[in-house]
Amino acid sequence: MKLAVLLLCHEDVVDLAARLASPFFANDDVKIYVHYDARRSVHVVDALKAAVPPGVRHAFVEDRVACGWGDFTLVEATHRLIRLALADPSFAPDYLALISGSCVPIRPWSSLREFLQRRNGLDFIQAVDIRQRKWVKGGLEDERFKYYFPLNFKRNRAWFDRLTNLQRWLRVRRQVPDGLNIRFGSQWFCLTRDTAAAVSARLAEPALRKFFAQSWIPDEFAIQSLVVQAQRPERIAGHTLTYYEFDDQGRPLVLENGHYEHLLDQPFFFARKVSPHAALLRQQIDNHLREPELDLSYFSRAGSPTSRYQRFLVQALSLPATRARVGASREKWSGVMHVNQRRYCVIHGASRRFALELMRRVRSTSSRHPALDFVFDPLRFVPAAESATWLGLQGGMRLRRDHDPGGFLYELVNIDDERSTAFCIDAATESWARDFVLWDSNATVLCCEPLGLGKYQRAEAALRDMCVHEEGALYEATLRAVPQPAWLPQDFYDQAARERKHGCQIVRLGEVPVDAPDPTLRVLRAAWSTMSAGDYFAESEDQARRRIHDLGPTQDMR
Amino acid sequence: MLSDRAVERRIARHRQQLQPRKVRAGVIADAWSLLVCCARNEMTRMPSFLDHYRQLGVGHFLVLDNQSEDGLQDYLAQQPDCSSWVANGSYKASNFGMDWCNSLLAQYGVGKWCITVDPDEFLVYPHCERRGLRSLTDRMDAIGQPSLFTVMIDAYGEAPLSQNRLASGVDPFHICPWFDRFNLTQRFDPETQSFWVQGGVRMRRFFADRPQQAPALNKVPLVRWRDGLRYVSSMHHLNNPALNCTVLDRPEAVSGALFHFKYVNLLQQKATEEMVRGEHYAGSVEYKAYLEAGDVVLFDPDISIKYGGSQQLVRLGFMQAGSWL
Repeated sequence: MKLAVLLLCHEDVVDLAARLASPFFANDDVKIYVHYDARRSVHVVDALKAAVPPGVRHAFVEDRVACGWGDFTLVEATHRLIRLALADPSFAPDYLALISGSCVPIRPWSSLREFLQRRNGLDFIQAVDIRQRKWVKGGLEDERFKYYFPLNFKRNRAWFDRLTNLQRWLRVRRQVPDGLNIRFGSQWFCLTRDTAAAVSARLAEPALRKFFAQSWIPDEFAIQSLVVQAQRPERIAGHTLTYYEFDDQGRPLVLENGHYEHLLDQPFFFARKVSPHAALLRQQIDNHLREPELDLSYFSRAGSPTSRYQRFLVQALSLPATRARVGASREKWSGVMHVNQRRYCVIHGASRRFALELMRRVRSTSSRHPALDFVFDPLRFVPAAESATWLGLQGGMRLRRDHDPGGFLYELVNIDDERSTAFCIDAATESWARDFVLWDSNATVLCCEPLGLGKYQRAEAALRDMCVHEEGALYEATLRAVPQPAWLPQDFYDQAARERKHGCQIVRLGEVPVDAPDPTLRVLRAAWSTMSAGDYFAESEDQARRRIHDLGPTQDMR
Repeated sequence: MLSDRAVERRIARHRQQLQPRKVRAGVIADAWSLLVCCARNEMTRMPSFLDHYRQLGVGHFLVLDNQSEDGLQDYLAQQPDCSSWVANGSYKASNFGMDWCNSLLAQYGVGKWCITVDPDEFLVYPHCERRGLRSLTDRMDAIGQPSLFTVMIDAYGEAPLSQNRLASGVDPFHICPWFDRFNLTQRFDPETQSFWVQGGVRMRRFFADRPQQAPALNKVPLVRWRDGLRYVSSMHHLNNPALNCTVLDRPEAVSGALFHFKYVNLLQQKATEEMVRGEHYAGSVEYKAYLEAGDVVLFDPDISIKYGGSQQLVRLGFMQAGSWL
């Protein structure tokens, strides 16, 4: 088994010389044929010739083509490489593999030889019938051979587009020569000697050359179509031996240091777009190439990349959690909470003392539990009543909190890596957090009151916890609302739930199952069941009514 | 607010204050990337600073020496990858050194990837342990990202400031491995299309009672330089808003972090000196705060987290790798 590696390149000499030093090429069964872009001077070619490591069999195309992206010139350069390899009297290759200057072999020659022997005579080329499935990601597809493309896209962008649009309008449809079925695919192939010879003969025909020369990006369908014409379908593998991937924008994945394991998971023999700066990766690959591979089980998956990169892309591009919190959102109101994805619990209830005691009990179950007091109290910042600091939160952070409340809430919600955060909020007092939480789908708002309380019981407990000096208005509003058929100020979330005007989940803590999936919810529920209602609420509505009455008459109290 | 023309004139005037010392013009022209920095008596920091950026693969260093008296000139002259200028003039009057930096960037930087940092700022970015700057800028070129948005990370040691000794050649990551794992505020300014990030230990320890005045932590230290581009206020903002926060609305973009090794034993001395010189921003309010705070311990076991590599910063949300696998 002998392999001719056809190298189509335009890169810098230093970089190419490093690639030619791969142990894969230091081998009598492999010979490398080089086509160096004619836009590079003869001196550069001479420098590369001088830099080819000893022991590497090689030959250079002397009659070089100046290559332009998207042009027929790339097909022509490939054609000359094939002719050079087939005409070489000193080397009779069984297979011809086309690679680029940014490709590297990733498997030892012994593995590729074994693979080619097992798949004896198969042609490895991608050849997709675009009538059956789309191959081009965005941009022109069948237009590429239906219209005329005398201009290069990169050099004459404006005229290229105008000419294309004009032909679309005129419904131009060029004739495909003698029944050639156009097949699309990546241009990196590994063909048998016979197939390569057949393709090369056809590429010499003037009519075909003219047809391809007036097309757009013919390197992605010319040889592919000719192989399909020359070979029986069951002899075409339909995939390349070169690993490459593109992102959603059609940008190639550039292989860098750190990609070694990923690369060796891929069932391919060459890899495209290895960064010229990835010295470590290349060294790792070269080390791998020096030893025969013991595990060849990837042969059965040959041609199908793993889904890792595509899954990574979906995650990186769609999940806010993968984004930096800094610079992620220009939203003024929600700030960085706009990209938050973690769930959290918000505790509220008519009796603040009840809520505070509940949180204290939660915190006493384990140190560092992310259970916090009224952290959005407009007047003060006390994360945990019994301790000067809790999880690093300190009294002095009030101004910082109000400087960027969204950023502050984000930090509270992410303060523990595993457990979700719970904190209290005063439903009766307006604050940024009270309103934000209402519409945040990551929030679970829990009313922590004992079940079955009446309106007077709740109002009485709320009044008892208020400081009349600081909260005179709220005190009055609560007093006024009790006897009337109106919501209490403390009913902010209950009202929203009734009117279905909320984005958060609103539940009663007493109705949360004891085996709720969220550990924080379970701890809250367990602490709740140890609370005694009698310590915070009047025994009955009547008692509560009497107590409120004793607070002193107001206009509405009778 | 000065008009663009007036700023250009001021920069041109301050350019006159630059005197070339050891300028390797040919090497600069061939370098694929440049690092510009303005230094004053930074001999202690310079060796580890140069090493850090050499390791990342910076092509050439352009150092502006603002009247150092510690032998910085001689040291720089011996470094084959450094060119140096002496800036004889007021740091404050030259927009805190930015007029000098902008002059050099305009003269040498156009078309190249340029890093502009202070000598106590060390750039990190996703995969930086294994991938050089060149891989990063290739990636940024590929996705059309012209600049790198970073957040400054104020790093510190466990000991009181005076005990956290930075000596020449000491890796500052080694003596200042801690930073605040939370405590970042940000505000988007629609006018400049950029963020004002504040926080970190600086806000927690020195500006808790006036968070609005805490120094900005957002910087754009790495830019593919263009004609007409200039930094406006320190390296926080450029005069082209599109370059100020390139991760905004671009989930595929990369961002980085700038480790800031200010909190070492040298700080008190520098603060005392600055009180006399008065050459720093906003009446040197920052240095006043340091003097008032005295010999503080910045470490807090509940808040501080030890730096554990670029992946950690990505996980904590300080920076993002975007779609760079």
